[in-house]
Amino acid sequence: MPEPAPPSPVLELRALRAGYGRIEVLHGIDLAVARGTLVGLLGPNGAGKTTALAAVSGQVRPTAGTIRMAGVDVTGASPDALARAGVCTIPEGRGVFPNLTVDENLLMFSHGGASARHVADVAFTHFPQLELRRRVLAGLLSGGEQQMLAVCRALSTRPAVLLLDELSMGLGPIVVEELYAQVKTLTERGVAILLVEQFAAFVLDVADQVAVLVNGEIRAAGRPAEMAGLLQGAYLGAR
Amino acid sequence: MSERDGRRDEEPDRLDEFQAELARLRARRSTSSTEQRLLVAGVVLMPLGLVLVLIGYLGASGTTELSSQVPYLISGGVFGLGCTIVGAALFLRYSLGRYLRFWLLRLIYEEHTTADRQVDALERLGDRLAGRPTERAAAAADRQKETRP
Repeated sequence: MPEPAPPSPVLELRALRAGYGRIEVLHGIDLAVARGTLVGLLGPNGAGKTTALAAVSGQVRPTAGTIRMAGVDVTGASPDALARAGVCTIPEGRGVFPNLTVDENLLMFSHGGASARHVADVAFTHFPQLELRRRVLAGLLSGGEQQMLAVCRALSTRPAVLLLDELSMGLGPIVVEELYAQVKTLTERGVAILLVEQFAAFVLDVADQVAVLVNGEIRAAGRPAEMAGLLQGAYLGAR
Repeated sequence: MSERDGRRDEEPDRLDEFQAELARLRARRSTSSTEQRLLVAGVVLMPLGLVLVLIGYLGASGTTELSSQVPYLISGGVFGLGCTIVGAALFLRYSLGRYLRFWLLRLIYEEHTTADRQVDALERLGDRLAGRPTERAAAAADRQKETRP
């Protein structure tokens, strides 16, 4: 029986170059994320992972190459327009309002059209501990709880593309595993997820595809099982 | 039908919505060259302003009529001076920005080099404390072996 054709990518980067002013960080990367799949973008510190995510979310303008979403060329689109269309970005270092309570943060997540009640229901179903702290300022929550709150934005707002930056930053392994398990459930809803992570071990368990970015170039890409052996070399600078 | 199947049925709708939203976007192409264009605009505006001032001066000096001199004063003097000031500001802003960026890059590069040197020195120190021959000592020993008859 012939193999089914691979699904057309929801997010596709072609020969993407981006940087800051005249300093180029990404030197022409190609990447595709299909509907309902989780792609992990791994690499050592300073490889350009966050810049790649910033380019996809519209925060950094590419200098060359294209970004296509659902077949539409969105290169150079503004971040707010992309967010309104259905691109959800959870930045590094907790994407929450620290001086608002958990309830107020959830209310802010309802700007996209979902009712505040629905957002709260989804949040407390996935992370019951947040319900116990709903009147606490987000800035006073533990790092894990803050990240849970940030992930609630993706869980409750029907994104088509989810961009996650260093979810594990400063968190314990148990919390990180719980967060990634919740993120993984989004692929069942057809969300295309691009995940940036420095600590490869967390991603290899949940990702469908993995790409290794080193010095602004994709050094290797494939299934997590194939990539596990290559990662050490890529991180330590082997070519 | 399972919940998951139900979700899969909903997917095309969300993707169609997403596609429709994206199609509405007025995706602008990269404007990374905006900086370059503004720098060039600054370079052009500075002499252009001076030329306008000169034209204004020549025009105003060619007549003794005050009513004829006023237009020269406005278009040549005020507008020309404005062009020069705006041009100079643009030129300074973007040439200085470029210079500072290269300076920052240079600092980062030097910091990396220093860090590499320190790591190298620490490794050699560690090797020496552990009683292992350092790379340099091993290379010297190899050379000695080669030259020994």
